[in-house]
Amino acid sequence: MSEFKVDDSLDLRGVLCPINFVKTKLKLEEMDTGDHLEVLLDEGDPIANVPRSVKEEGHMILKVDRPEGDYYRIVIKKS
Amino acid sequence: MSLPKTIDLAAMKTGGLIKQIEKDLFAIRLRVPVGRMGADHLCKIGEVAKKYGTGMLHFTVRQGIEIQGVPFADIQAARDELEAAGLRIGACGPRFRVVTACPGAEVCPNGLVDSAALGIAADDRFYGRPEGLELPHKFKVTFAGCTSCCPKPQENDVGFHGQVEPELFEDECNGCGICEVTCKEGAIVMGDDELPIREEPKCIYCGDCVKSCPTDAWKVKRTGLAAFAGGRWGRHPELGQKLADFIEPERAMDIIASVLKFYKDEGKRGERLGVTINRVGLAELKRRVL
Repeated sequence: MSEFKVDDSLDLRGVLCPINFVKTKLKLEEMDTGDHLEVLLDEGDPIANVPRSVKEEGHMILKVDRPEGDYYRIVIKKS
Repeated sequence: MSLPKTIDLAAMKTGGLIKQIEKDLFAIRLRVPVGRMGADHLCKIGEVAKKYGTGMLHFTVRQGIEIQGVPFADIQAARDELEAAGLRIGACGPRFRVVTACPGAEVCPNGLVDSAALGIAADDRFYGRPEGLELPHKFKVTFAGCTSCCPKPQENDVGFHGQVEPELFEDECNGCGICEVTCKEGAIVMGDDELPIREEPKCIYCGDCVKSCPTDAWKVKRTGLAAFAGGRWGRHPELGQKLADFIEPERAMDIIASVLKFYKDEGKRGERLGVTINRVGLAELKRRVL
């Protein structure tokens, strides 16, 4: 993940769908175009749904990885 | 119970009027293809229900609406008022039933095909038409927009669901791996070169990889319908059997027409299509339909 700068971060572990997406969307709205947002998401529905919804909103997912344990870390570039 | 002079007995025989347990009361079943209706129509149904019925409605499991508690003497007046507003009466009995569908690709983020439009087309083509009348038993058709199969295509006499075949454009892949974690079937694994590998036998053509791919490296190679025949619920439930994958959506009406012909030719009175297929054979149905 070191290849991507991160401007802001959200830890959404334990947050259910669709609240996790809404929180991501609100955070992205505060940010500037081109900024990178790091989001931590649980496995299962959150990792399957949130990136897809973010894409449908027109943003770019730069990277997905699984640092340790049962969660994922994604980096979003705001469009 | 006196018979009103204006009652249309021929119309009663086509169904849509259901005798209730209470003496002299009927429920009027409306035709609501794919469960989709304008708000003005719904208001009109409410008006008629309050004027002629008990004011209660029943939403049927096949997406229809029934106006409850209409006295026999008022049926014709209620029907006239509904029909003047553009509302139509539904069916019961051994006929091609009102087609159901999910909202499909027009509305649903999971939609792969426009199931609602296909359902309306099938309803227009077969409902109340000679091809869909005088059948051995009821005949139910549904269209699902994706592989989630919300309207239960495998529980209908003929059912369809949308499907897509994905194709990877490696140059556009950034190796993020989201398709691997999104694929519920475990059909995608990331290779050592950070490119995803799809295992064809595990793929159910749901299109989740295409929808989730941030760079659109996964693209739709082809879109089609999976078709099932012979499903039913009732006393002896049985799931429909697969007829084919990747039928072009425009061919769906021909498939239904061919299955209806098979059912009319081979079905015994009172048996559902699934029973006919079990007797005559799926291979024979496929031979005549595909």
